[in-house]
Amino acid sequence: MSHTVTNPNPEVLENLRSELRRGSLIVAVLAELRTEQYGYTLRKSLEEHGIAIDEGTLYPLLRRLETQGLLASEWREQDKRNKRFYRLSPQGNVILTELLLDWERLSASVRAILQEPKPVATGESTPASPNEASPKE
Amino acid sequence: MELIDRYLQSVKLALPKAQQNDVIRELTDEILSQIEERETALGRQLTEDEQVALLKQLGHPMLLAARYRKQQYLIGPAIFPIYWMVLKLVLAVVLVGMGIAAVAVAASGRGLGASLGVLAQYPVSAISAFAWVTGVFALIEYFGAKFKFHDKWDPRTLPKLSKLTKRPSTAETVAGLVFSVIFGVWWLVGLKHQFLIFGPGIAFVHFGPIWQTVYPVFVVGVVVEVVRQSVALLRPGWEKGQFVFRMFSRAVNLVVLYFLINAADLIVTGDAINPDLQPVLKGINHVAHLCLIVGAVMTVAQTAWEVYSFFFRGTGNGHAAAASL
Repeated sequence: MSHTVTNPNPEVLENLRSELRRGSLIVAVLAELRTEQYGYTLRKSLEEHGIAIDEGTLYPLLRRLETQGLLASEWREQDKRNKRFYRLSPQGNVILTELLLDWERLSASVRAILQEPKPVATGESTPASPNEASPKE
Repeated sequence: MELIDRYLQSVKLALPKAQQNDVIRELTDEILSQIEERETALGRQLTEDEQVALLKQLGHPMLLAARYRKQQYLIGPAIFPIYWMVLKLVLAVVLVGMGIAAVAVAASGRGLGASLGVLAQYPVSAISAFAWVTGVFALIEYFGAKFKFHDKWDPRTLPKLSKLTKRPSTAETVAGLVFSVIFGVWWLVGLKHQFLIFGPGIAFVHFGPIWQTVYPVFVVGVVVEVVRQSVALLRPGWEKGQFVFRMFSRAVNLVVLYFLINAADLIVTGDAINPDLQPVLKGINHVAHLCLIVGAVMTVAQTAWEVYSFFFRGTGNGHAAAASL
């Protein structure tokens, strides 16, 4: 049984994308909050950078990061409405630096792996051993 | 704006109390900011349908509120493998316990209905066991008790490499246990109430007295078989133990066969039989004796092969040894 490259399972692809995004999203949010922002503008800013995030994901994430001490927040009035402004805490800044280093290392490793010459994939699965190739009788 | 207020109220009710006001204030600002942006772009107020679309985009109030909660599972991934293992073990122990109870009820001479009644209670007992195990593990998860089992393990304590080339699946083992219990119950009750074995034929034939003489050995045989199947289910990797139980089970079978083979009449006539059919009955007894002798020879041969396989070929399972040839 072989899967063709042109027809990947959309559910599998979506799950993998979601896993890939999860960690990156935290880095992006921390990086954005080096400048103080409130939820709505933060979401817009992320969206402008190509990272769409829904409210149901962003606000609980902000709350979690604040509980972990990576963000600080305060309520202030702006445009006649109370808004909660978030910014990166000193601890968050240290962690963001560490995460960005890890990000760079990981990215470089993946690039290096991709640049290594590999045999051309045919789309058909190749048996690992003759025993696996033969059907069970 | 009534729709927005209703939505926020629903979210608020589903949030942890300590967070309610804070979260709702923030969400209110988010929603109002979105509305303002759209209304500015459209140059008019949002219609009700547009408000509905906006709220639907935010998601169901329960789902939105659930994302603010810290723990969203009853039993977390860290202890789930232990929970799953314990749950399977407890369900198996309950099954074994009820199987033995059913055999005990059968051996006490009570009817088949009483024995099967014990087995029929298994689903209720299993649900109760499931609830208890799940409840205990949920408490462990909730109170954050930390298991350090991951740190305390030693590779030297891992089970030895299995000698079997193919181990039966759990489903096969459970099926074997259930079959053993049902067959054992039917057989023990049937020996006391022989119409369960002969049916309407009980008017013509029934078992000879030898079957009642060896009845206690049958009880031992059934119990040993149920225990053997239970061991296979609870400790599938314990090949030595399973081998010992299998040999004990075979020994009990041979004792039964010895007494039956040496008995004069295995089957005797009922009251209503025609005396002219006595030669037929004699023939049936003769054939039955021959079958028992063949059975005894096969049991001895199979036992000898399994003993040889276990000690000299490195596997206690004759089928596995044959498959590995």
